[in-house]
Amino acid sequence: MTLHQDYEQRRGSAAPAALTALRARGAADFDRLGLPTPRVERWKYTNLAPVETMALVPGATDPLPAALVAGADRIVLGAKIERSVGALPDGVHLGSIADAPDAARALLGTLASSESEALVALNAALADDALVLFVPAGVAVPRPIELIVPAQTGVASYPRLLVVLEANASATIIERHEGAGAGFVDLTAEIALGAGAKMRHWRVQVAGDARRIVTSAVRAGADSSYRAFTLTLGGRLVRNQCDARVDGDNAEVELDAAYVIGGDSHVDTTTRVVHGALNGTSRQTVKGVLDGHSRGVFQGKVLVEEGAQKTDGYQLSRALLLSRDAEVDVKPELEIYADDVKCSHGATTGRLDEDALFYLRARGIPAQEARALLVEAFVAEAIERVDDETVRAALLALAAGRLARDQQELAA
Amino acid sequence: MLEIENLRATVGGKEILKGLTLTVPTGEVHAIMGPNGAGKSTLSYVLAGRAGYEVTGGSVKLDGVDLLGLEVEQRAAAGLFLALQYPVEIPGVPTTTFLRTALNAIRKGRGESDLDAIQFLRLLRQKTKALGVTEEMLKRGVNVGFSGGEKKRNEVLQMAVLEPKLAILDETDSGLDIDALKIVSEGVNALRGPNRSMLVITHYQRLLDHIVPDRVHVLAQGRIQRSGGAELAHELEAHGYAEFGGEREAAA
Repeated sequence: MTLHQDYEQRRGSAAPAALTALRARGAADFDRLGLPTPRVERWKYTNLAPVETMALVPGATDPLPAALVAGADRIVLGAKIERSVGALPDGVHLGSIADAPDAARALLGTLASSESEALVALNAALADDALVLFVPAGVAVPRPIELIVPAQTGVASYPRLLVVLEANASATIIERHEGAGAGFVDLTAEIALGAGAKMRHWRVQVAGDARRIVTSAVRAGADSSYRAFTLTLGGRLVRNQCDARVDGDNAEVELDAAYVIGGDSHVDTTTRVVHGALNGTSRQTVKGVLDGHSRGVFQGKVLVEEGAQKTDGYQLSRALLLSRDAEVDVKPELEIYADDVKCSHGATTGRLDEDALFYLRARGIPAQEARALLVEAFVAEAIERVDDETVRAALLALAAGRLARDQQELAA
Repeated sequence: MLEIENLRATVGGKEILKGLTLTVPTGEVHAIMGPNGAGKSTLSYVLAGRAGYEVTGGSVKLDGVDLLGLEVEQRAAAGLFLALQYPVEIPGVPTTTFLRTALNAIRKGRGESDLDAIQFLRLLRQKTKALGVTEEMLKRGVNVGFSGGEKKRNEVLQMAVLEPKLAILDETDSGLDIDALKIVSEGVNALRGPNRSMLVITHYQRLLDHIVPDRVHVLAQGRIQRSGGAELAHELEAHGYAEFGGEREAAA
């Protein structure tokens, strides 16, 4: 069964009533848009043709893996929602859209546009449910919440996430994309931050044959802080797209990523930050290590609207190419309609620093080990952006494990 | 003992070392002085085995081992240490990790077992004290954000930890003020010993007031032009390198 056949079969399936309108609109939009081709500007470097022809079968259940961070709550966003969640503060909702507070339900589908984004439309049309995290004003969710997003061979899944943090609320979500199978995941996340709210959004994507399209839409209210970091360790085709809007004064949005890929992996990071308020800050730092025939893409756009004075926007893309056949495409863009702003971007693509390599070897460190040390340092520097020590340590360990695997393959 | 015999080397097709012969007996400190462009740095890189420096003739032996046949890291394992004129910054590799990885690699070459983290830290604490290398510097990426003096102190610390048979100090005094020069020189002097040779490469005589050499050699136009005792450095300070065909400048 192809993706479209699977779509036709599932579009009428049962779903909570709260999703009826979203699904109808999503289906109408997807019928009009279809899957994007490279002629669509935002999909110039990532071709979805291989996704269309994947062989799909109906899904199965997904087991609940061990926590990445000790004590974290865990939820599997798979065919069946598995959960291990401890007691949460009063008023916090972590569960189906069906019994979510009205304040959250009203926001579903308002942040991520299905009108122009085909993968959002496809997700909307087929979402079985939407997981909602609603945190009322002034409440801090005490533990990180791990969301496990599995990929299984032959299974297409359309997880949907809605996060609503009211004024001065805070939460940490760790999104774990697991499963090495040749499955397809089309995740859409909508995130609304009220005034002074603080969200940390860490994401890990394991290696393997999965195709994962993740689209998140963020709206940051006044004085709010949204920081995201994505660590991608492989995947046949991965796209992490984030569209964020700085909607209130003094808000900060940070969208960072690092990826370590080889073989035929394709990893696309596409971001768009729109500054629509005063004194906003946005940071995007993407670092990639590419081996084999892998390909990396970074398309980052910062748009400063008229009147969004004192905006401070910064984008940086750094890629380390370890093989002649690896490739990276970088397209940074600034579009500025205000006159008192500070915006800049930079991009570097290169090989390992020969001076550093000589220095390490001159101290007795064998060439191969010296190279591994430099690559690990390059990735570790990106992971330093994660401002949570426990999570940072977990991510560093995962990256080190991934690099050690490369070393073993090299030695074999 | 370091024995360099009729060494010839080219850089980018241009011959820089033109038959250099030099012997540094075990336990002695020799200085190499010379004008800019004489081939001083080329000599240090050729000895360390850096890519881009092509040896076209001659031989180099360290305690009888032919260095020229070895990879960069094998030379280090054989006991050679080059303190760089411009130490490289390596963001993301903490100095501690760097030192421990290097030490264990060299111990492996000597047939010794790895030091674990605790043994290593004990050793490190003992070595850092005299050099004024702080815990904070050790945590930072190698040389990242270090001042010129801190970078050179870090080089001497590496030497102290790795305990080479032969240490080559390439323009270690460059970029140092007088206080930093003192600390670095004291660090180097503390490492002098009957089993270690040193080759101190410098343009200026002032370093040799602090690290007093057993012998001084003048390198110009790719060869050792003259050798003498420590007093030769003072003579060079007074008369410059002009008589050796170098630039007309005083080695003040």
